[in-house]
Amino acid sequence: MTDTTTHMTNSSADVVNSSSLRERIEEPFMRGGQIALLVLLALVFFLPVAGTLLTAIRTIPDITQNGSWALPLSYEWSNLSLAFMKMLPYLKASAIITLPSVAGTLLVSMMAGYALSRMRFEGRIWMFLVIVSLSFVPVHTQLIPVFKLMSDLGLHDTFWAQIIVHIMRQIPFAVLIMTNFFNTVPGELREAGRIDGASEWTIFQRIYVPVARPALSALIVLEFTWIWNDLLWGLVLTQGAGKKPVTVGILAFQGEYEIAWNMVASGAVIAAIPTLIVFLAFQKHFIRGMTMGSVKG
Amino acid sequence: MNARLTPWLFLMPAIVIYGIFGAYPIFQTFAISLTDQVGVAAPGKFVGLQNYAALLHDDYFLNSLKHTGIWVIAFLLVPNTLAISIALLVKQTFWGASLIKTVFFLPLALSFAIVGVIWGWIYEPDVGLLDQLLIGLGLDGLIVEWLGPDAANYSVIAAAAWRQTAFATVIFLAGLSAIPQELLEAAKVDGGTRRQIFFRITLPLLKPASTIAVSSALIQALLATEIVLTMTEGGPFGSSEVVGYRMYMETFWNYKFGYGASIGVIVTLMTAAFVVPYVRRMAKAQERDWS
Repeated sequence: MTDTTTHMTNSSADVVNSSSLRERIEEPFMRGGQIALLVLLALVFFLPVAGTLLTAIRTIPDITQNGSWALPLSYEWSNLSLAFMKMLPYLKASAIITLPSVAGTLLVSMMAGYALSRMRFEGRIWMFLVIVSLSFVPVHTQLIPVFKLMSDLGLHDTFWAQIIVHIMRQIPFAVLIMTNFFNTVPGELREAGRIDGASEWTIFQRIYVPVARPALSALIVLEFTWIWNDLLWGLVLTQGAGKKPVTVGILAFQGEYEIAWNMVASGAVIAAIPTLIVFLAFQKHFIRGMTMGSVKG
Repeated sequence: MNARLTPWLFLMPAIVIYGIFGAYPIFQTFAISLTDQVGVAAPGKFVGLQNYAALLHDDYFLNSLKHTGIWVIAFLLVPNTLAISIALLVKQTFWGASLIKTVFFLPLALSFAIVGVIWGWIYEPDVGLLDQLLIGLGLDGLIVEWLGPDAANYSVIAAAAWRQTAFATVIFLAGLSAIPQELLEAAKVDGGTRRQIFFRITLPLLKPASTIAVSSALIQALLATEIVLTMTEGGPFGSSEVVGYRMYMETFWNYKFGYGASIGVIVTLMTAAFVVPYVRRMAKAQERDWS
């Protein structure tokens, strides 16, 4: 008995020794190699963005003579300012569409999420399932009737049509996030409010909305990006230039400049800047929101 | 307030908005798909399943279906494998790791419209960023006509995969950091090799993350419309058309609303087939939580 124990201790000590030896010699190389590989991958991954930024500030003769990857001979900042002037109406339209859509989505989904998470009622599970399923409904089953409905209501080619549709499209996902978040809030909060005689609405508004701040910030960042980046509804629900979002604008821009690639790249940079800023400034919230709900891309 | 009514009052705004502008349209699409409606003005006449029968003989549609199949296979494999590798590498903390993460996450902030425009320039013959890069590296032999009839579908997929990889990396990184470090240490002490640890411990524990990454890849591949629209408009000669784009074209370009609706229904049924198991799993989990 004692023998076996000693034997076992010895052999496991051997393992530890040999692994620490391995760690001492092999690990730094492995680690160095892995980091080098990772940096290389990141560089390749970044090339599309780097190339676009580079192209945006060059002249066409410079590009054709010196190749697309050469450093600029002179910085053509005027490309960007011209692109900005051209894109300004589209950027404005996108802002007018996106901000109310985000606000509406938040309000509606907070209320629904609160009810689903905190109240016991008949049909609750059923309702939750419907919402989960709806978050997977492709736009393709809604495009035609919504287009028709908006025309019938006289809302075609208005900001209203796009705002309503974006709220509708985002409801399932946002309700899901809010439900899951409220599930993690201790129920005692609500009980305490009830004992004090507060109404359900007061409890919701005074206690649960403030508590929901982390979920809300994640949701705001995600919804802003998704709604801002939508293209299909912007195409289908608009006619004139005035109501088209920037995603449609970039296509018009591309059509106008065709092979003036420095201008096309400038247009892409200008169109991407709002979501890029939001993403870079609130990356943590963005990622958290994504892993909280994580059904969308 | 009536206690039984209260939950429904809180749910009402969501139900009303989704009901009118989301749910009712879903049923209407099914109904329209059974008619020969052209344009938006007048309703068509009932033709039963004729649109669906016609789809079976529509070469444009069958062609797009084939391309969507390629999308699905490529999307399941490429972004997810890449993302697992990236996530495993990024997980080691070192100076600059957060910058590296930002680089991999960045495409998530870009719309498909932008991705389409950027990659259109990347694939441009001769002066484009890709051809110029390959020439610079002395790999001219690899150059093909990226957006030509033979390669266009794959090139569009590659552009979309760039963005999907970013998404999957986020998911797998979250999955990895949920694995208890002690578990991996213990396996190491017990003499497990890297390979064994990865396949026997890490990968099985990544199952929840994988479910999400895989279902997202499936849905994105089945629905791909916007990026095709911005990069190739399905061309050249329909070589990059996919079912979602076909639906958009038949409806809003050819004004065949009935026919377009039938493609919309098919896209939805394909999505449902993949999504139902996922929804079921979620339902069970929630039921456990709430009971």
